[in-house]
Amino acid sequence: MERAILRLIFIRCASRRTAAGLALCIASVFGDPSADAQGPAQLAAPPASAAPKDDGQWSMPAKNYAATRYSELDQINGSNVKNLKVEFTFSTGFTKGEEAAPLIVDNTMYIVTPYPNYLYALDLTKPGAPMKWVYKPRPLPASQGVACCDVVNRGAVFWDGKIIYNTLDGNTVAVDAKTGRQIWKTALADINKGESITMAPLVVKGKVLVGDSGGEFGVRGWLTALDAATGKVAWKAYSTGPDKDVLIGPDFHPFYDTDKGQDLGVKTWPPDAWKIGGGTVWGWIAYDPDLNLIYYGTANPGPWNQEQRPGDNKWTTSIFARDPDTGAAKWAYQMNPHDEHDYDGINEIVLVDMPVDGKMRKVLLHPDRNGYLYAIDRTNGQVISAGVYGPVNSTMGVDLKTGRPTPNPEKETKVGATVRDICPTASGAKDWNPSSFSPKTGLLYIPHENMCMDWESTQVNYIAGTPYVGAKVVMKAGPGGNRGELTAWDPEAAKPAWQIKEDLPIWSGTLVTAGDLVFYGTMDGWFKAVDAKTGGLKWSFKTDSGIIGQPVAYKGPDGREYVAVLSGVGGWAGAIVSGNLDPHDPTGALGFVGAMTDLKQKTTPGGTLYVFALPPS
Amino acid sequence: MSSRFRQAERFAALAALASIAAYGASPDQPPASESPPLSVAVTTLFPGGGSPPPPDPHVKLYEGNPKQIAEGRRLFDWYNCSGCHFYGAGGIGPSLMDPEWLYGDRLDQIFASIYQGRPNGMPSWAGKIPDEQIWQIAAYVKSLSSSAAETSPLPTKPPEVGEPLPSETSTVSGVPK
Repeated sequence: MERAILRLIFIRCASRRTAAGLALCIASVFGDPSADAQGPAQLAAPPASAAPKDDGQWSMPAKNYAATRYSELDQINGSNVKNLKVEFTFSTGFTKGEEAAPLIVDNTMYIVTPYPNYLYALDLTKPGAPMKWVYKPRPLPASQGVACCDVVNRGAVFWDGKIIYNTLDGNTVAVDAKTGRQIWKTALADINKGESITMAPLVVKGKVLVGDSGGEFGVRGWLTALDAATGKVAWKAYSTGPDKDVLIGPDFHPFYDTDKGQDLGVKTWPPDAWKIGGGTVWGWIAYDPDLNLIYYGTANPGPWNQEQRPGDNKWTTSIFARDPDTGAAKWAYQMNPHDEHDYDGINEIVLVDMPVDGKMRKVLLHPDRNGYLYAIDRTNGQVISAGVYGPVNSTMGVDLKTGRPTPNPEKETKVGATVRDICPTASGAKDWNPSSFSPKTGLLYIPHENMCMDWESTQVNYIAGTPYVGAKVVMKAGPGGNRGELTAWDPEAAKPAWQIKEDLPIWSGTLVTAGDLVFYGTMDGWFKAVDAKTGGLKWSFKTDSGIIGQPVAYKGPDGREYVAVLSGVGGWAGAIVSGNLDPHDPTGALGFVGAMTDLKQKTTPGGTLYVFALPPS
Repeated sequence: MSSRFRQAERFAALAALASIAAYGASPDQPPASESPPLSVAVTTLFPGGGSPPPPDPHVKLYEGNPKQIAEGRRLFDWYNCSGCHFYGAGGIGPSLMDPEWLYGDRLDQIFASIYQGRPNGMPSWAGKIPDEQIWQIAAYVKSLSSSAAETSPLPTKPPEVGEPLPSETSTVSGVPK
């Protein structure tokens, strides 16, 4: 097994063009050799305060504040999963991408659809789980015109009797979980500035945390906190601009020198460009109750044409640690200073404690779009390791002294030239779709892509409410020709334990259970269960449409373990199907069409919930 | 430093864009009509019988006119149309090169869609883009669907790293032939 992994990594590296690149690649893959020699004395595990004992429900998209997406249920395991059968299904009635995680609270399942963002409540106590009610927020239809990558929604959160989620047109709504009646609605985003909201909120200490989308529309990124009882704004932290807007004050202590200084959110931009510079917050938030810190990443700078925004462009593509009570920043770390490839930093952050050089450290794991799996000390923002988990040639490793990736001059994007075969793509070695972490195996299960791209920058005008991109991109399959991969990552060794190749990009999340099974879906509709220790395929089922949703597990009213997932292709990768795009122009959908010309032959759109269980014993 | 100057130029151009109010006449422009051709129907159903109104007189001046199409192509980028529709595939907005037209494929219908906007995300450009330029953009949009018919069959697998893209001889540059 070990030898096979090494060979696989070597093949990746060998695809690089230059000998120097190859040497650097190998160095970055293996990292510090002493870490390997020491051997894992103790498995990484989430802090107990952020991953309490499983109650059999699923009340927030990432399962818990540590964002492990790990279910302690173990009725379904490697020996009986072959008997897994569909228990019931439910049509959402829509044909756009279904990215949300179903929630399960008090024997009711809640599903948020893509635009027009219906919220369905299904009664799990009755045969076939009939609908209890549906809530229709009626978002502005025009909001579909400012959603960069299909009109998706990534789900809801349960808090104190309410289901809380965001609508595409920029409202946060709280709905009575029992009756479906709206309790409050707060307008946060303005579609005429290009703002929308697609992320799933998180509630921490009675505050609903919400961020904006629109990094391809010249918006200014922010995260805001609303009072969960009333919807009133408590604080708002911008990602760009002066320190007072970013909520950077005396408590701010970044680890790296280039993240230190006053008003970097202004000074690292051309005049006024920070006002339209992106850094949106459309991904995931984690929370450490012991440290009282929330963690999240900010998205790409705008426009994609880097020549229009010289400077580091802070605080785009950065991770922030903030006090949830006040929003005050404690530290920040910029993964991709002056990003040239649309490497948003919004991907999931999973909290684990693990031994590093014999000493337990409080760590966050973050598989970034740039292809590096960051293990970062979550108390201070120090990068402990940054190994590659997908094909990378846009940079030549992360310098742990400065925290900055080493740019590869051959892959710098520019106006008037097409730069070929940049890996990873704008969509990243992985995009939004979240990983899961099992404390039983100590592995992080990363659903991701194996793709590269050609890129030509173009001059672009800022016109409020229209795209502000400035790049022609065409994506393609990466080395080996497979477009998707599932990587089980060993965070202590900072390298893969095993990998599965998939023909299509994996755009679904993963779920891992105490039955040592990892569940994920493929874009042609297969829902799969693989062995968490080896990656061996244990079960698969073909659903109606491609799967880009987040699987969850729960305990039903009858005491059985259920696994649920939304099927329904779409999202950026599946927009060619959900948006009926024409494959003759490969630049379509920001270049994703070029890599997915075959998808229309492999799946059709349509949202359906699938719920699986073992037959009653 | 030169990038900064370009950036400043950009903002100046945008300020100019924002201030567009009067529709500048040009020597190529046909006599201005009283109002844009917004009486054009976007349906083919006429209760009690009937037929669509005759095409707006502008249609014959712009449709298939290489000079107007080339200018429309430039404007298609300038006003960020390509940010949503790309060069025909679509993305945020629908495909413009396939044979499906939600609001009609006549040039005056395409004009009306750009001018008025459409409910599911198409902005209204009335008062933001001069009428003549909307006609030019419409002519380019119309040309995309006819050029698509000439493109070669699609590959069954996407190209890999190191392989040339099949599209490079056709639409990736976005310039219609």
